[in-house]
Amino acid sequence: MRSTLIDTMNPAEEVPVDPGAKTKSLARKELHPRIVWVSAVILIATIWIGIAVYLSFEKKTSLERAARQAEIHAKLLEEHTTRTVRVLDQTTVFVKGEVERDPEHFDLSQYARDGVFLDNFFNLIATTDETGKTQQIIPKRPAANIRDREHFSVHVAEDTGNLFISKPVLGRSSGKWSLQFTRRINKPDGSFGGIVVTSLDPGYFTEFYKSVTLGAGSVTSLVGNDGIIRARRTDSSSEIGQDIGQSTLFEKIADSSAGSYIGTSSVDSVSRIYAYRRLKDYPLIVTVGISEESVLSEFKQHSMLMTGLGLAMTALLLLATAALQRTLKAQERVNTAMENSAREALEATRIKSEFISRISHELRTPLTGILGYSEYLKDHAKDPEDRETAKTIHESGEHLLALVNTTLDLAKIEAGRMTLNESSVNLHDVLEKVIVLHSGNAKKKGIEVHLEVEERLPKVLVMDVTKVSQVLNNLLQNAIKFTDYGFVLLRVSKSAAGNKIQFSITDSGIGIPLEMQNQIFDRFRQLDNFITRQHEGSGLGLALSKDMVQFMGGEIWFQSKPDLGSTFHFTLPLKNE
Amino acid sequence: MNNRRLLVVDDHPINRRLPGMLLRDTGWQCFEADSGQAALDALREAPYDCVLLDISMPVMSGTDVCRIIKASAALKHLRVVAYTAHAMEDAQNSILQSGFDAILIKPINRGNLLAALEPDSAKPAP
Repeated sequence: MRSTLIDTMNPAEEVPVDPGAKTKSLARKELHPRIVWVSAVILIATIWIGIAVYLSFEKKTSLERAARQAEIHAKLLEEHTTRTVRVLDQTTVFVKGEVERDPEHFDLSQYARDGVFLDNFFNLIATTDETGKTQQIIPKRPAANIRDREHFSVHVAEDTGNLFISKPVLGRSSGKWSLQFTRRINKPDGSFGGIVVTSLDPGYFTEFYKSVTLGAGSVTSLVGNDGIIRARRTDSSSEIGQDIGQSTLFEKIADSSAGSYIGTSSVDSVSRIYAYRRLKDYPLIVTVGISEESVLSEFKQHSMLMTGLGLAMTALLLLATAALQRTLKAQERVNTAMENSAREALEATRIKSEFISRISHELRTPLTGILGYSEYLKDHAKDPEDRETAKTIHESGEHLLALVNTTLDLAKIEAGRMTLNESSVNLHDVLEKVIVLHSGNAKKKGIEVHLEVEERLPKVLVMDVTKVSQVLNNLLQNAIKFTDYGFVLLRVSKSAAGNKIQFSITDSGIGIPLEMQNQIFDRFRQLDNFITRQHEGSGLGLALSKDMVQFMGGEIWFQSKPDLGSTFHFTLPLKNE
Repeated sequence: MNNRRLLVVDDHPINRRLPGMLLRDTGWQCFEADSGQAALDALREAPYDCVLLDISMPVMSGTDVCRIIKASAALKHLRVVAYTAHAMEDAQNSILQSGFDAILIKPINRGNLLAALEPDSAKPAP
């Protein structure tokens, strides 16, 4: 059974050629350029979402931290304020009690001298009669009437028993802002007998915070339940007296007595994080505001930095994507071109193969008639001259057939259609057959053909017997053709290394002219400018022999001396059964 | 040995006549058919020892004819030899795979023609 191998040893084509096979895509499928863009956009979006999330988190954290800070300070301020007001109220309660106990002998300056009152704490301590006229006052200053003041009139109508804390008042005599803390003095019968007034610099409350840095734009303030600011300090000023009763603070404080919020000041229009606390014992609210700008200054720097980084990364990504895109497109063009050329090459090979098959078929059909009928005639024609003529036709036909076969073999090698058909053969049988084929021609020229086979060679070998015979036939035919006297020797031996079989065909012929020796294996280069007329031949035989030997994995070469003869050698891999 | 019957099937008249000439005085008696259908008709009418079958014929190819012969109970033991100018090796392989007993490559000579007709020669002479 014959087997067809598309062998990788095939020297004529790098790609095994199967003309029937569908042309597969030879190039790897690359990334689609659109996918690259989509990926880049997703990546950029991810970066920006990341930046946004990070920044919003940082902003939230900064604001929360500021709110906590403000709350802590608000609590401190509340405690301080409560303590201050309590100390102050103790004095008010004491004076009220002393006046009510013994109005006749009450002497405020005596108590002051006795050190009952804290020094440098009160602006003044005073008592009035029921008409509002000051009775006693420390430190000393001219008497005045405060009948028209709210902190007086609030006590006239009824006795609430509570401390009244006035709105900031611009002192008539001092010209300074002060807060008045007043309580009603009752006559023994319980009727209105005047008030006791203690007065305090509103700055006293906020002075406490002077040393505490809450950052630029921060504010502490003390607000009455009535919405009027009793004291207020920022890092730059200390305005008082404004009514903030309509502000966000009052919306918030209606819900809870302590908390924080972000708002814009109705006083100076600065946006701040505010914390507020309502005092438990007095009608006062403390607020601490930390300016958003100072809180977020670090965040803003980060924000700018991150945005800059984001922009840089985006630009870089876009550039990289564009570059990748260009590369991919170029790659795609190259791939397409490669696929096309591979397809074209495959198609060209297929067409070549088909052409060879057709030509082979078409040439053989008429040759069949020529050879067949001339063969018949050379044996059966009645006239000897006719038989001789028929024989000539037959020989010419044989020559033409050999030429056709050689041409087709060469074309087959070129089209990558040569196949290796190896089988186990008896070496001696093969060689004998070849020798017998040529002995007739040799005998006609009076030449002996010898065969020498080295003993070391195995009897049975694996080879492509058709091709080996073809090469041997060709070389023997040449040897006989170019030898007019002497001998032709076919010697078969094992190579020194033992892995090759070597065939050597020696003749005692005319040899190869030196100037031809480097081109005898070229196609159509028969050395026949001087020989053509004597020795017919296509000049294809040696070229085909070389191709075939190389196809079978061997080498071919020769040694020749003009007029002394030539030896052609070829080797093949030695394959035992 | 004497008077064996050979049917030569070829649409090309010159090559159809040739085997008959080369086999003169060999004991083979040659008959001719010029198409696949004519061959099948002839095979049904009379017994043959061997068929030489051209491959490239119009209408019904030699391969088709061979398949029909090998699928027929009455004819499947008949020796069928491809008689073809398709010399390429892969063509020969596909011919052998479609059921032919041997291949005879054109051009032919008396020697390889006779060898191909003998049942013990599975391969054509080189």
